[in-house]
Amino acid sequence: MTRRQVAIDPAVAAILGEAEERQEQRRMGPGKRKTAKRAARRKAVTWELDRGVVGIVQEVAGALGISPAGVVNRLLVDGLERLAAGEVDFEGCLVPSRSPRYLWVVEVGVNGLGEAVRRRLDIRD
Amino acid sequence: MRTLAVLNQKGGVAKTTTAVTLGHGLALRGYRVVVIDLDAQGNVADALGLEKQPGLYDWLVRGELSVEYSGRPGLYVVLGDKRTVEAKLILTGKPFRELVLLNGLKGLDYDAAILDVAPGVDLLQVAALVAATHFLIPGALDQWSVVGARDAMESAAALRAAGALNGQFLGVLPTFWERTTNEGRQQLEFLAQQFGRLVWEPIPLDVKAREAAAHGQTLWEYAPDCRALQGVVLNGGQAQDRRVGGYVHAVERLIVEVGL
Repeated sequence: MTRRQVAIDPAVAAILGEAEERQEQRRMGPGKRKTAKRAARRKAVTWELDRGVVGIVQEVAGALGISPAGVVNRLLVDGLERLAAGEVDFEGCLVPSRSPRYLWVVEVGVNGLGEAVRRRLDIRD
Repeated sequence: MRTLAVLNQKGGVAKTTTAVTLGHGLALRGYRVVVIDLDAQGNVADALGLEKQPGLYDWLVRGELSVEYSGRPGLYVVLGDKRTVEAKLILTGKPFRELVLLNGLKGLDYDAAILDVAPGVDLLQVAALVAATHFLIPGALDQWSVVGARDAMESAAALRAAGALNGQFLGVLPTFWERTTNEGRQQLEFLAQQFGRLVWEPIPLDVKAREAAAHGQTLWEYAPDCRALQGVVLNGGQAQDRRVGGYVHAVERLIVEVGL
């Protein structure tokens, strides 16, 4: 007999999905669990930001009294809107990647940007 | 004014904690809220660090409305104590007794009234359902509480069939959610199968809730960063981490669902 399918809240579905995964892992032997963990790690995405960018974001967050995530989210949405409007693209900043996972690496220059932002927001050392 | 009845026929499922936490959560967002204690245990007073008083008795039997200021901006209370039992006995002999709260609430001017309903089936539970514009069922994630939630739904369905219930069922709010136990998962899954999208994001089990009650403070005062308020982060890989559950989310959903 098949179980009746009902629409459930996405967050509740995510909770049940996570619980299911956890139970699945409990049923596995140690070897299989290790393999599954490795596979999960491979699937995970690492979000690395340029160190210079991180420094500026932290300064802006501190000056405005908001979280660094808040600064990143605000500016990211702005950037995505500009991307959608065709005002920004990735041409000119792509260099071939040495990693087999990606074709290109994006190189961004932050020279002088920190100083300009500091001036604009009146951030003093 | 929106009137929210918080009920479950099973006791000990965090009805009072839910009523007080939602009430104070709304007050902190600028709404004027009155929490009305319909339980003779008078735990709303305990939860807010106030003295128990026969406020409900005075209101329903003597016709003297005594809304107390809770000491928290925007949050008011009608307190209860053991005299609530007496009130029920007196009202039982009166005609149109099921309308007692509906009529009484007409004199109040708040954005929301939250009725903390006692467990079991009695006159005040029926009166609360008749008076409510919305009702929410907190349910601990164990077998008996889930059955209690279903029984409360059946009472509501019977009243609706009799034309006495106009309120909207907002859903089931799972409480005492234990993320790592099979029991928690199974009961949440069972609820989701029964009630679909009407199952709200669960409130994580959190010792801070008990501690807050013992200190006569709400969770917003005692432990604003605790899991019961803020929920927990589900691990879905770095990019997919998401925060789920907790009363913060419940307050936000409540505001949207009742149109505050």
